[in-house]
Amino acid sequence: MKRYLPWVVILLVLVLLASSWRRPQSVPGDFNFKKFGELPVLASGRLKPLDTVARNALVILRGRQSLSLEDGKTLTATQWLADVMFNAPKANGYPSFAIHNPEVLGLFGWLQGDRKYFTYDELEPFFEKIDFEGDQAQGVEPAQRTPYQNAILNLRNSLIVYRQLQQSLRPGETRSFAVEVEAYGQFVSLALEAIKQGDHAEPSQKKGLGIFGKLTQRYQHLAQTSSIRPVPPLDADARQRGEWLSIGASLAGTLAEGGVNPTVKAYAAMGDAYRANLPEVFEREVNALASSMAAHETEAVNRSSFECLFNRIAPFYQSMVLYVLVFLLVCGSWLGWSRSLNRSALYVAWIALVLHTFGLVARMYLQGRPPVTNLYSSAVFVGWGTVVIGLIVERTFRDGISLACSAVIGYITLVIAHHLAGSGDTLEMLRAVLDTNLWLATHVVSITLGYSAMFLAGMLAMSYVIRGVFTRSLTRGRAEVLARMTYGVICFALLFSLVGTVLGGIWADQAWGRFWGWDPKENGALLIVLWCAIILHALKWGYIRQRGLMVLALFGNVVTSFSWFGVNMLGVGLHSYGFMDKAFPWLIAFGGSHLVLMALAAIPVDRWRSDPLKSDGALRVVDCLK
Amino acid sequence: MGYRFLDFISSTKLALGCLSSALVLVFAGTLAQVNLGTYAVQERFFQSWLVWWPSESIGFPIPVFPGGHLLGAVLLVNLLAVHLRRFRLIWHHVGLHLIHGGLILMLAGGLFTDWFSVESQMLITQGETKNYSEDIRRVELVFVDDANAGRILTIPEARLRQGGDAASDSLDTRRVLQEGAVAQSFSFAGALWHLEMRPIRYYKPYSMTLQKLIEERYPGTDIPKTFASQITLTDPVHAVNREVVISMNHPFRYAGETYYQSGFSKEAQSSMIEVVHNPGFVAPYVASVIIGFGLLIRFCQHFVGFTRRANDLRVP
Repeated sequence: MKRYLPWVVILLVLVLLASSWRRPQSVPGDFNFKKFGELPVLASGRLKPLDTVARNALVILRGRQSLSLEDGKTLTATQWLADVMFNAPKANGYPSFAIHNPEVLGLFGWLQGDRKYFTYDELEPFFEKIDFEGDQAQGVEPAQRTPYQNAILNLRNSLIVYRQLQQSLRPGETRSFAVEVEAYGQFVSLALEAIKQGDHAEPSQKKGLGIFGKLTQRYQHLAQTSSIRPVPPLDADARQRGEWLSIGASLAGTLAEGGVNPTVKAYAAMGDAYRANLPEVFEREVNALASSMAAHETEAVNRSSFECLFNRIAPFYQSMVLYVLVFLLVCGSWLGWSRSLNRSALYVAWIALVLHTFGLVARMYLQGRPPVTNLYSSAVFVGWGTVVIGLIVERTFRDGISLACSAVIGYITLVIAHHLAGSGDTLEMLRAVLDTNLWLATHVVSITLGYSAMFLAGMLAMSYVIRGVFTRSLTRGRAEVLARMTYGVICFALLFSLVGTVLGGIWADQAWGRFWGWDPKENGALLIVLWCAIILHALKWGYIRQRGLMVLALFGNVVTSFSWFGVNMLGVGLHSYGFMDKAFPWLIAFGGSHLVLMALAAIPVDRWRSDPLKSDGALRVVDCLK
Repeated sequence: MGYRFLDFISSTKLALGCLSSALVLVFAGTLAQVNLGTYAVQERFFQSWLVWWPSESIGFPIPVFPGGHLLGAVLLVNLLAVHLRRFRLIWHHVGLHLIHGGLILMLAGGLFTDWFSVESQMLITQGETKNYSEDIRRVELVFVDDANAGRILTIPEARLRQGGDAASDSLDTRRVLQEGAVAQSFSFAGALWHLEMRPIRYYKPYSMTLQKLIEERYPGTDIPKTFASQITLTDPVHAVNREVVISMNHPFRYAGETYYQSGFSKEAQSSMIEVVHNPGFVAPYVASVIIGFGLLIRFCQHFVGFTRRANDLRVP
């Protein structure tokens, strides 16, 4: 049994993963939401599938990517979006909006009970109140806003996002949009005739011109409210620039284009079929549109369907779960069955890393950018880097410690990333200042790898202190191994931080004409370099030894977290690519807990439960390499 | 005494002390930017010998911490002293020597840049031609003689004091300045002069004309994709007359100066271009290459040693 355990674990993990990757089978006679979700649209400057639009919107509205109804049924994001865009009366009854703040609930005269989610219909009577309170909150500096003001602004933003989606594909009240669009096409030709004839126009042509004007106004309004642009441009110039149009804008421009755009017709027919509950017609329209798009916009369609796959697999979520498993397996290996559990942990860590890497590469393909472009992706990458370094260290020392430490960091950074994704699309477009792949790929990546190494060193130090103070397991040999690992990882951190900082200087000189400007983000990187230099020199010159190394490595975590998040909270400087203030209490707690650990480490060793300095001849480096 | 000083200046304690102080200074200087802004912090914390506490209760400022220049200079001397005293050419240490040599060059280059580089701005509206840049943080007093082809005499801010006498090489001492002085005129030496306070100007022997502002946004968003200025450069001395595009991440270098796109205003149809004159700009590049080599050698040594040790340990 013991021998086969690793393989059993792998098999189990793979089976579980494969089951979640399975394509959702569309039930015959039901709407084909999968195909519908793959249709590409332009939103927030990026071509993305409707599936992503739906997931991002739901994350903004209620913090998760699906919607559970009161009768226990669960709607996927795409199902929800189809209802929002095509069948407003039904969607308005879904509990789409999360409200947690008791003061906001109080504003509506509701009590804080067991309900957290509310429907559009329930909120509608309070729109004026929400707008009024929102305006008040808007006038306050972001840093000064109370939780209530933030909550009311979030709610207002959610309502706007919802309304914009509802007003994207069809105007509010119309019995059959397809018929309306068809008729509009005829009015356009009548209007053209009327314009050509001038005063000699026939009465029917004049009447057509009048109706044409009214409808055009209606579509111009639709164009203003729409947040997505599903219509690919017809002429080559606009296609080159990637200027997709909204349904409203395309319709309003019909006169210039000479006829109604076929994509508009397809969406109109799709919506009618959906409302009339005709799944076959809906599927036919979706398929027709998908294949015509595949012919003209091949690249967009390919990316779009790949992105749907990426969304379905959710590689970061899965590797997050696997990292927990790795940690538990390693902990188990310290209690018994050590060889085989350690093996199992290692294999699971490799699977998790493969998934994590797949996620990173997939994002790079979708965005056409190096891996780190914003705070979210930096968190994902820090976790990835830590696990890679941890696995390298594990190859040398093979006692599971670095595996466990890197798995914990991998898990925590992915949780952080998950919370940073709250604002919707994590593949956002890059501002002009960051629009350079060369420097993003070199400077940013090596700085971020420096963070990874610092966190791993800090985590190793943490395990040293906790094991030493609270358990008897930190023997002299183990302590020595941990010290060596920590030292090596800090060297690694210094290497990447120094290279990254210098590269950053060169980028700054290339872009801004100065090598160094004491910008907060630059200073943050410098702090890490200085701290590593202090640790290594103090060690070399004998000012600190094993325990001192651990204390300083722990403080390295504080320095790194300041450099990563702290400087972004200051809200100054040229690098403000990820301003955020919600994490402030967490940062303080993180720093505080490390100070406590450092104080623990400062307790004299004879009061520790272990004695890492006493020779017991039990375990030496050589033993760990077996 | 001499030896003692030499011991001190080349001691490891001093090196660690400098590094730790630098850590504290950088941290404090980063936090201080929230209230003071980046520029003031640069001047007070990093480009100064001492950081002064502007204590109001005592009435005079007191020095509280070594400034960036002092720390940099001490660290530079310390690095040099350590290497001069203890330098042995051992193959194993070549990497380390290179890294530290590169750092010495980088520090020296940094100090040089702080003392000799000049930063200024050029705000230029569409169709306008300019042959000077301005430093909006410092002012000068100018006397303009409109009649004689705009003859100009200038007194920089450093020589002006509120309510005091101002002296210039080209003018007699005279009381000139009142607070908030705007354009005023007076007659002197048979000419009508007008005087004004304005940002210090740096005139160039060439001129730039803003032809067009180029601004692109991602379709359907407010996120800027690029912004750029299309400029005609005219340099009669070198018979240059050509079109130049300055854009984000792609500055334009000419006659020892770097022009980069730092901002623009669509409403005013104007472009803000930062002008940097930095005669020491090569230093960090050379230093980076040296440090890079050092790191590479060091890394290879570690790697070779590591695999050798690992093999030794593994073979029974």
